[in-house]
Amino acid sequence: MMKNDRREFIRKAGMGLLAGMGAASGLLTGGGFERTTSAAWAAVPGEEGLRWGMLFDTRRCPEGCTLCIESCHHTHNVPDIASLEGKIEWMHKENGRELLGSLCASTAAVPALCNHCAEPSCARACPTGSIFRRTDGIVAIDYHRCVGCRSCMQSCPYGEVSFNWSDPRAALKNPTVEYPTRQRGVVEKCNFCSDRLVRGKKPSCVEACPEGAISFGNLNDPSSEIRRLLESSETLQRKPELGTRPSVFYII
Amino acid sequence: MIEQALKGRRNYRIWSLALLVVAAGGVYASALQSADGFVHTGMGNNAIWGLYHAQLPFLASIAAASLAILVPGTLQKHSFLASLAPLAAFLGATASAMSLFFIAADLGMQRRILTLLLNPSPGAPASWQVPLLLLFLALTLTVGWAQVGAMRKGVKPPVWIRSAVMVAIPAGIALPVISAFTLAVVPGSELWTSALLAPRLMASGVAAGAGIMLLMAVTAEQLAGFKAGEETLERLAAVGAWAGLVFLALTGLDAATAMLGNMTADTAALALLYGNSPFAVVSWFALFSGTLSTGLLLVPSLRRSFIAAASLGSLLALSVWLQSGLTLILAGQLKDASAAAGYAPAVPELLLTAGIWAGAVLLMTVLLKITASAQLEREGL
Amino acid sequence: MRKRHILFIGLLAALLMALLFSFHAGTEGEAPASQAAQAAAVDSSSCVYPKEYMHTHHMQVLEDWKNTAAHEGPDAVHETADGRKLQKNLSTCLACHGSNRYFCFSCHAYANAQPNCWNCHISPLETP
Repeated sequence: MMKNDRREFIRKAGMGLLAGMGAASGLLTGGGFERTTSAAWAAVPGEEGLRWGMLFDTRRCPEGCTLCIESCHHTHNVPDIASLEGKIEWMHKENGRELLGSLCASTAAVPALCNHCAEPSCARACPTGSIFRRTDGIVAIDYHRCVGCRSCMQSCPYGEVSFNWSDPRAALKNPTVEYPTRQRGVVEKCNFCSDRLVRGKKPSCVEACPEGAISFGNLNDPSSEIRRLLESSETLQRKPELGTRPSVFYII
Repeated sequence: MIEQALKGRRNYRIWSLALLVVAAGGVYASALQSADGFVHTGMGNNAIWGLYHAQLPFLASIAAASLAILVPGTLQKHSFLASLAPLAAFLGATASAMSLFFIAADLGMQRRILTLLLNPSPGAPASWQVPLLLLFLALTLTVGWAQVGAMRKGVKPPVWIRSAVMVAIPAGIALPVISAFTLAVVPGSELWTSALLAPRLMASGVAAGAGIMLLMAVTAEQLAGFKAGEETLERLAAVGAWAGLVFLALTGLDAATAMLGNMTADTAALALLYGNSPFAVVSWFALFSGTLSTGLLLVPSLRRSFIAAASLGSLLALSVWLQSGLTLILAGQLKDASAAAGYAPAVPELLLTAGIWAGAVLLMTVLLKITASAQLEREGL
Repeated sequence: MRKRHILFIGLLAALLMALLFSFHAGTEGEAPASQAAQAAAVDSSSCVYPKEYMHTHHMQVLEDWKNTAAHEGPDAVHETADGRKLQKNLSTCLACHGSNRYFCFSCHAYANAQPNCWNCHISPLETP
């Protein structure tokens, strides 16, 4: 009798625990995968507020053009370091197949930058909360707090975080006065031009693109231009299977 | 008690001096690094972490493993491990102190080190590392010291030791778990995202910890007249052998699951570890020496010979250091085979690593000497 | 005795679950984002605080901005006593004080104060 009671108790407790965990997981994960077809966008329950996103129409991205990268790196004082081991990049162009996987039919170079993920793995790795997701969806770095442990760099599946292995000022020829540089020993990456957004300007890569291939806007606003493009075209994200929910999209 | 650290025979003094010299080399390299940053290391975009970080999972597991001796040695009445309890406490303290030094050495902004305590981000496993290590260091050092003090006076250790050990249990067990979790947040690194990583670290820590304790106890016995007891040492060797077996089994299970399930990302990571990376030779050596030492430690007659047990224990510890430390981090961070050639530790990096190790061995030597003298003093009474 | 064991297991499970949830890295702050683009325009017709206060406390003000600005993101706005809104940013200060290239340095040199602002921020002395 005693044994049976206990067995029953354990069974019920276990079932309760499982049920609770199931319910909790349903509440907590905001739709792990982010499908990039129009139907999926319509099906995603609307999120509140602002989530900045970017869309590259690579059909309009000319081969060999690097104006967006140059503009970005100049505006944000990104040092120009030649060695592969010490290179710092906020934006770069890579082989589309390698960047977006086999779904990408073209091997032409496409631009890449921090994806400003909705579930950033870098933020989960940072021991000091120096890399974090802001309320507007931008994944930002607090350069005043970064201790330089490189955990975020290690955990970014896209390799979009760079570390200042040496003094960046030494590799900076013509700095932009309005924006700070970084110093040796901290990480850095694209900030989605939060410094320009606050002044009501569009990101510098968007402005620099002569073809208008880059769209920028609020992903949570159904009437925004970027949402209109997302709903009317087939788009790709980088490594969507990891569940990081990138905010950067590509039309091939 | 502390005065025993300064007295000693010629060999003790030469050994301590040699360790001091190596530690001084580490201080020099550390000064070089704070002046010029990581340019004096082999680290770079292809090897984000290097020798420093590669010590952390191993040391966390050693710290936790000290509990395997410390807990029965202090909480059970008439435990055969009681004579080893202070040694285990000091091993835990040394391992956590080393971890803290290696974490500090690996920071790009060393003067912001307090940020790790002042601005923790509880959602990130890595922010639990430093507070837990500090707590565990304080607890094990106090417990060990109080035990040696009681041993010297020939009285029972104070009762509060039991509460300190109770607090140390969750803190110590959390160390390898947190260490595994700091690696698990890296999506796409298949060597790190296995759920078996934490138990594997724990088992490997007990194996290596037992190996190191065997070496320590036998050395102290031969040189300083410390007596752990024959039966105790044999059982310690058995603990090491069984933990080594569990570690090897878990490693095998991980690999077998990857291969049977044809999980391509996992098998690619294994191929980097054992095949097409510069670490393959080290990985195979570690696997072979681990299997050999575990197998031989399972033979009772070898366990009973102090010298054989101590050498096999050391080999086992070396194998675990390579598997749970070096190759786990260095091969685990590789994204593909082309990045594999990226890392070779530079001289200042080697100096600093050796310096921290020498400092730790010196600390351990001193603590061992104090323990042995306390035991001798009691017997002299 | 047995009941106590069950209780322990339950507590442990609860603890583990609480720990797991704490690992769920969410967004910093709770307030829904304000429209960043429409955030405070730079109004720097007069200083954040009275001159006398800034003489003695500018380092505290800057320290506070330094610690909070990045994390408040689009909401990193300082509201003065008379209701003006200013971006928490060193360039807000330099918008006025940058006109005198030696504004910071003449005092700091005299007081032998060596703030590390210019490790990253480009000082007025470095501009052509």
